[in-house]
Amino acid sequence: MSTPDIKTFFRLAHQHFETLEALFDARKGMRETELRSRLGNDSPHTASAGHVFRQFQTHRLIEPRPEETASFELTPPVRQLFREFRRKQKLSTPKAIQAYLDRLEELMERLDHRTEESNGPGVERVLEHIDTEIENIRTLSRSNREAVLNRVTELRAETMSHSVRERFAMINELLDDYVTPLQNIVQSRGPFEKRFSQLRVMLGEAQTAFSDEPSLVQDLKSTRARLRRVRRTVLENFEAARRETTRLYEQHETNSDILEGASSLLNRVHHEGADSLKLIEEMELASFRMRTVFREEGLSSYLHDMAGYEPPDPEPIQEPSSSRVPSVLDREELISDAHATCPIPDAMAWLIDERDAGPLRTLRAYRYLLQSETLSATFGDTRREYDFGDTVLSAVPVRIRVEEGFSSR
Amino acid sequence: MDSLPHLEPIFNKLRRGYHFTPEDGEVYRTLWDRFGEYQRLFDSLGLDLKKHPKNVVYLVANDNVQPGKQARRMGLFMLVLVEHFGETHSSIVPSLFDTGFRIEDLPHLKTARYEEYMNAIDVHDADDLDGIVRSLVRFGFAKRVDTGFMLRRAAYRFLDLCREASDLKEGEAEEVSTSQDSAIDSPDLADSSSIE
Repeated sequence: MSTPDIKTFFRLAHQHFETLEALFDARKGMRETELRSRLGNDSPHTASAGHVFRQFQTHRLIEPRPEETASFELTPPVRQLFREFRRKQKLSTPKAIQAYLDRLEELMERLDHRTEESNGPGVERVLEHIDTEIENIRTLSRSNREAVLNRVTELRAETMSHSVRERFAMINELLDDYVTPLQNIVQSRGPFEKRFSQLRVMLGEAQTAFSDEPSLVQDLKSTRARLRRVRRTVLENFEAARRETTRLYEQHETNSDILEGASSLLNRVHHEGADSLKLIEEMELASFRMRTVFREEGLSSYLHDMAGYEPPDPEPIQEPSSSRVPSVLDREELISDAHATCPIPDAMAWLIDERDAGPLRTLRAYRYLLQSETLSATFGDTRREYDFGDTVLSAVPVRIRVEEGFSSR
Repeated sequence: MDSLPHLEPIFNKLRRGYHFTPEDGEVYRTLWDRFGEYQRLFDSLGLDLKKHPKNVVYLVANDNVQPGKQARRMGLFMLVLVEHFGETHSSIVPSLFDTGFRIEDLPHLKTARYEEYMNAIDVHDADDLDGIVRSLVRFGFAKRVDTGFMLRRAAYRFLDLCREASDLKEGEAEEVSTSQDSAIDSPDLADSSSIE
């Protein structure tokens, strides 16, 4: 059996890309027989399927699935490559970043010792490890950002068959499991900022300690620059993930609130009956019988004048003498007379002519006409005066006609 | 004061509870653009003209002539529609407003629980449901389409009630939790001798 070789690795990947891609998409791996059959169908390549299958294993493209020797899957580095290119990142729990930070802490202690010992080559070796670890943090952070954004896109897509409740629960899980804990790590006093800040100080101290070793100073400067870049990238990645998730959360919080509210109100109806829906009444839906038609010239300025008008106290009511007791104004009779006369071009003039009553009774009759459900009133344009002897009323003429559907009265 | 256009049709519709939305075209645009002037004019009559954040204009009933029974029927109808929609779709807004509903497909009389609510407001068959849809259309909450009806943005007013109810529920839950916490913290309720 030959030893793994990177050149052969890439050649095999290039020649059998479709098979590898199918293997990546097969969540539960692929049976050996199916895999060999696919390799046999990769017609442009002359090597036998069995030979290629063995090479796949030798050069670490595939490996048996745990406890399933007849099934195979891609090795983790190949899977990672596919994810990287297809932007199908896996969500990393913040624990993964925490693990890198812990490892960084160990390396920082080592850097501190080597610096104290003035051990230049030792510092050089530690720097290599530190570079690797902080780059790992950068990669993980970018991968996590893409994974969060992919998840947000999935959750935003209307094609998902989840209900409002299920979807909101998923968004909450995304926030609780990935975004909020990550926030705790990267926030200004969190472990991430603390470690990076300590490391920056240490690198500065080492630079001073080894100032007579230009090559090492250059390496220390390079690590500091890398540190700055990683810090910036991690914060940007976190911010992008947080922003998108928060936006999605807010959007679905509205949906969730609406649903919860509807269910809660229905629940109330279930226990207390439909009359318990007081909230609906608070909508104060208008529906009233006022039929006044606005004519802007004649009425609007008048109405504006009326706004804020404070009426004076009424005159004291005098005891009527038996000879002066007025007859009760018969509303029905009035409306009936009006029906018989309609159309009435000027309601007030008609009342004065027909009723021959004082201004108070005339105004009351006038109000009955305007409030009638069966009559329609239209205000005229020009104000005129109505003479009652002692009193002169000023008003716009009102034309009265019978409302459609009430003509048979 | 300049004359206010479309005053008659606007008033006649508003007084019947109609909600104007951008779908009402020119009349809505005038009402929206000169809202302050219309509002002042209606205010002179003691009427309260309101704007909803979703670009809806409507009149609020200010006395005892509000259509309580009708509102309740429409409200209950909408609550069932919203709950069912939320349980069968991945979002409520804005998709509720993009969906065409057919009377025969409505959930209101298809499950025992919903049917019970509907019977409580005297709704027993598709014709009764159609009657409620007619009211919704008259109030400007819905519009007829070929296949049935669609909700207009004025129906956000019902969704507001749902959100309000949800806030209320949360508030009550918080109160209960606070009172429970304080009961636990309260030295009066803890028998310190038995703890020791």
